[in-house]
Amino acid sequence: MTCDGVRELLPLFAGRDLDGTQMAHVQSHVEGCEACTRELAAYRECAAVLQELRDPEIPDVSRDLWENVRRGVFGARAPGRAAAMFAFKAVAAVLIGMCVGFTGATLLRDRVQSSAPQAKVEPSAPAPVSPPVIAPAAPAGGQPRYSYWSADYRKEVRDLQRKVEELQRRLAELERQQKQK
Amino acid sequence: MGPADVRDRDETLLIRRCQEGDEYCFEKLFQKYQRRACVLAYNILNDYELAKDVVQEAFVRVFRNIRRFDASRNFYTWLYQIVVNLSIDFLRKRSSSKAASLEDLGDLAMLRGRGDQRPRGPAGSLSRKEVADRVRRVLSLLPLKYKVVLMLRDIEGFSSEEIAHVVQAKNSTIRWRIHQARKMFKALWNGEGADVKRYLDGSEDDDV
Repeated sequence: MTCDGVRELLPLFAGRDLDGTQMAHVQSHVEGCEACTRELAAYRECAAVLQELRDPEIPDVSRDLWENVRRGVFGARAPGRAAAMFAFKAVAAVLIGMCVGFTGATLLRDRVQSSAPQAKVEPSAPAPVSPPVIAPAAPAGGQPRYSYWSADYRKEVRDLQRKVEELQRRLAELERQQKQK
Repeated sequence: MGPADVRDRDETLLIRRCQEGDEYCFEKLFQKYQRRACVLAYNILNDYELAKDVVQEAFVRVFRNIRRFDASRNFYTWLYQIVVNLSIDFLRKRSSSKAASLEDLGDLAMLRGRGDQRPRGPAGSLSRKEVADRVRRVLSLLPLKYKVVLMLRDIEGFSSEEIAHVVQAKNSTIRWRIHQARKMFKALWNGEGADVKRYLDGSEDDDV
């Protein structure tokens, strides 16, 4: 191989980009040719200095970069998803509110209805065995004075139950006295 | 099964998850390749802020189109293809033809004038940063298509087949460009102005 032919192949030889046969031919020529050896050294120096760009000192901004990429990729979908989530929460809140309100109203109505007839005791009827359940008296506006589970409400119920028991006891005594007469 | 096979299998799984819209896997894939993509864009553009913009846009495009990506292909050649194309677009927008301008060869006089100080390798008389700066200056004088191929081969270590995928050219064309780019770089690095002018004049001829 002539020097001109080898020099044409040196750029690829320097980067091992020739096939095996060509590599061997160039290698054997370069080993015996000082000029081609110098030329090859120049190419190898270029390959070495290029390596200085392999790992440059650049700041690590991967966190910020990822945030921007994430916004770019998922950002377009985010408003729709957020709106759907907001609508879902709103509907859920309304439904839960309706359920709680309905249940509370039903319970209150049952309590009021169950206490009303039992408060009226027939003179001829025997005394009821268990004391009646008493709901707090509703004012004219329909709103109870206390909340259902408050301590005041429970105290009022206990007082009323005691009075009812006292009245029942007196009624039973009067009935017994009447029978004796 | 070797470590490379495990890596390939893991990456294929990662890509499949990304195709299903898994954000965590998107981030994993991003973290795996973002630095190399940044370095490539920075080396092409010589501007870190622009390089960041390019990489950000490249990953956005990758993730928006990942459903159409064939997971059996090399992910990084696809990513690098987008990074290279976006970098070239940025450069073209910034200046119509900065590279390969013979006016830029004014720098050669400076390179020649400092011939006696020319480093004999990265550990020469110049600091590594000075060497890197000079390499960047020399690379900026190369026509873009040669510069990109030289960087992918001699800095990133891609094979000519991989470069052919990245720049969408024939393998023989890539080998020719590697050959020419190394000649040009050597001539510029050594301040061989006549050779450089000859190479730059004929650089549009891509035939093998």
